[in-house]
Amino acid sequence: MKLARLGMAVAAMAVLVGQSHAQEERPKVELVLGIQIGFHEAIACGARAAAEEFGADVTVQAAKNYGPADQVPLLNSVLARSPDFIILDPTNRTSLVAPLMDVASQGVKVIAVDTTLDDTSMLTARIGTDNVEVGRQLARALAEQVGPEGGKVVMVGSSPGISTVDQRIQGFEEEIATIENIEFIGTQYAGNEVSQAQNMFSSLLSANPDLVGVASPSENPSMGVAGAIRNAGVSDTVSAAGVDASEAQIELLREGILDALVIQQPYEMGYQAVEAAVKVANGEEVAAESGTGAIIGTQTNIDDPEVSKYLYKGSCI
Amino acid sequence: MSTIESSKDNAEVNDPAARPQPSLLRRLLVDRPEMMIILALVIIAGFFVAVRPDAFLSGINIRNMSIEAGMMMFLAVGMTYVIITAGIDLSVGSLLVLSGVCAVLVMRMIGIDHPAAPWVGLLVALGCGTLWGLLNGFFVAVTRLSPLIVTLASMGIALGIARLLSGGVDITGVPRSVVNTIGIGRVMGIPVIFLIATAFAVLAGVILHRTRFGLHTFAIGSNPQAAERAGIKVRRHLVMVYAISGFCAGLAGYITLSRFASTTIAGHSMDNLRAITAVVLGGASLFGGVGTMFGTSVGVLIPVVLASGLVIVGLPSFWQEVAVGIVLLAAVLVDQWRRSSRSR
Repeated sequence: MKLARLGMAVAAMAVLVGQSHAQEERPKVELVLGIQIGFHEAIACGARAAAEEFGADVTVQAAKNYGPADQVPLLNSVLARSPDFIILDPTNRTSLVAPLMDVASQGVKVIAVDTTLDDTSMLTARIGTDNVEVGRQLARALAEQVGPEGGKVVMVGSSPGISTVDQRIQGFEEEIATIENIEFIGTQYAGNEVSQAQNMFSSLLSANPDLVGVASPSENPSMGVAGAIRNAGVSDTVSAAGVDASEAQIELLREGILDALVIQQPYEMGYQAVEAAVKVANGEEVAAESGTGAIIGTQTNIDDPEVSKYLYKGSCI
Repeated sequence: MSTIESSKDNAEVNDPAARPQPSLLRRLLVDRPEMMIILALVIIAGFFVAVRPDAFLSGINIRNMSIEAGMMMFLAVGMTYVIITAGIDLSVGSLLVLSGVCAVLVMRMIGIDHPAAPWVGLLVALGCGTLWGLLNGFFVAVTRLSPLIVTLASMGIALGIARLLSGGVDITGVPRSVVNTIGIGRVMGIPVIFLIATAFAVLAGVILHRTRFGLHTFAIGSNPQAAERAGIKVRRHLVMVYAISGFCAGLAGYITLSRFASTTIAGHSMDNLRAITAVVLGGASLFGGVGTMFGTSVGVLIPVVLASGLVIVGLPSFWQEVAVGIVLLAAVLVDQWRRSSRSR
């Protein structure tokens, strides 16, 4: 009897020791995503793959609506689980600064993916695309689709204040001004709902019947633009270029409603963020800023293995 | 547990000889409706404490929940008054956004570094909310339109105007001092937002339960004709009740600005229903005449505890909506049983 009890105690202690040992090596990482869409699924898939490979415990949460009013409460809740790292895509460059300062002051290290902040001093690392370059690529892709004859083009964005969108639009506006025969009539902000972008672009089409091209800097506006193009039956005359590559966007590209997509690498963002977390946990240095590139997908190259491996797929949230 | 008790109690009711004295539990449940919801809160919180005591009871989480509850309390305070008069106010979420947008625009106009900017912004937010509430009240009380329709219409108008004023996009420009002292401010470790919300709720509770104004509010909700005959100025009182709800939305709008350092135009489309949920969970009746500020403050806590608790135990936060819906249905069902057993 006594022996059995002793045996159990030893076994329990062994389990405890084993656990604490495992916790030392595996940093606890909380991924707090802004929304649950294809792009963010891919971030989560990359994070999970890196967790498997480098050894980390990753938990994923996604907010209901893309915006600080939903992301901040979620951020505060995961903080109570006392993680070692929080990885997130800040949904607003101003609103997230104070909450993340608070997080960092609790000793939790913060890694930003995709978007950035007005004040990045509390970040351990930031991993994202060079979004000004994405904007330039978007302008060149659109110009190529429009062709040498050129004409009027417009940009339909979601909302200002999201760093990625701001930088892409900046890059787009700079680049499009240098392209001959293209007349850029400006950027319109539709908000982050597909239906809002659809309404807005339908109106823009009625107001500008001679429009030949439209660009959008993120997934939801490009979905809305595509819907408006389909409704108006103008997919042959209006070229549409977008950013990102969710399954729905790829479907529209195959259909010929969208003509070019600047494809980022969210899988890489999630993967590199968790890799950086494990490195920091082991006392190694990581770069404060690192970039993941972007490629251009069109109807003709989308099924090439070199392109299709970057598509935003998966179900990891 | 409670269902077993209730069926036993029902059996006792049907057999008068077997029950000369009502049990203590039964008296508590029937006469103090808030007890039911406190019990539900204790069960829910107890579950999370049992699963993750370290995380759920951590200072971080308590602080986080107190801020979330405080934010919702502002709207729920006004909604309690409105629901006690048998009314409803769907416009509060949109009005929160509109008040915030107006306040930011005015603060930017006078310069966000101007020392008076925070106070001017507060006055603008409160004024905007109160004026809008007066308009709601006018249409409800004077033209006698259904409050559901009036506030549904003004909900759309308020959000539309907010989008027009801001160009449809969130605007920044909240004075740093407001963010630091209110939004992320703490006094002895307690979030300032929670302190403001508590003081506000206590004040509103005292007015509701200890003054003539509160008494009239209940009287109008129970029976407006009788209240009229008893000499209460029903129309004027109703206008004031909707103005109070608007004032609360304006205050909530200003506090929201301080928390996010920016307007959050798209983030409040469900706030009206969340406030109504909290008030109904707290034991108020949509038919009017019944409700307490204390019950509402417990009702506010249930969705908040569920939201953070579910994340802490590692479930997707989407489960919160499912769980709140179930608790709401259960609360209303129990309430119905309670009423019918009391009237017997």
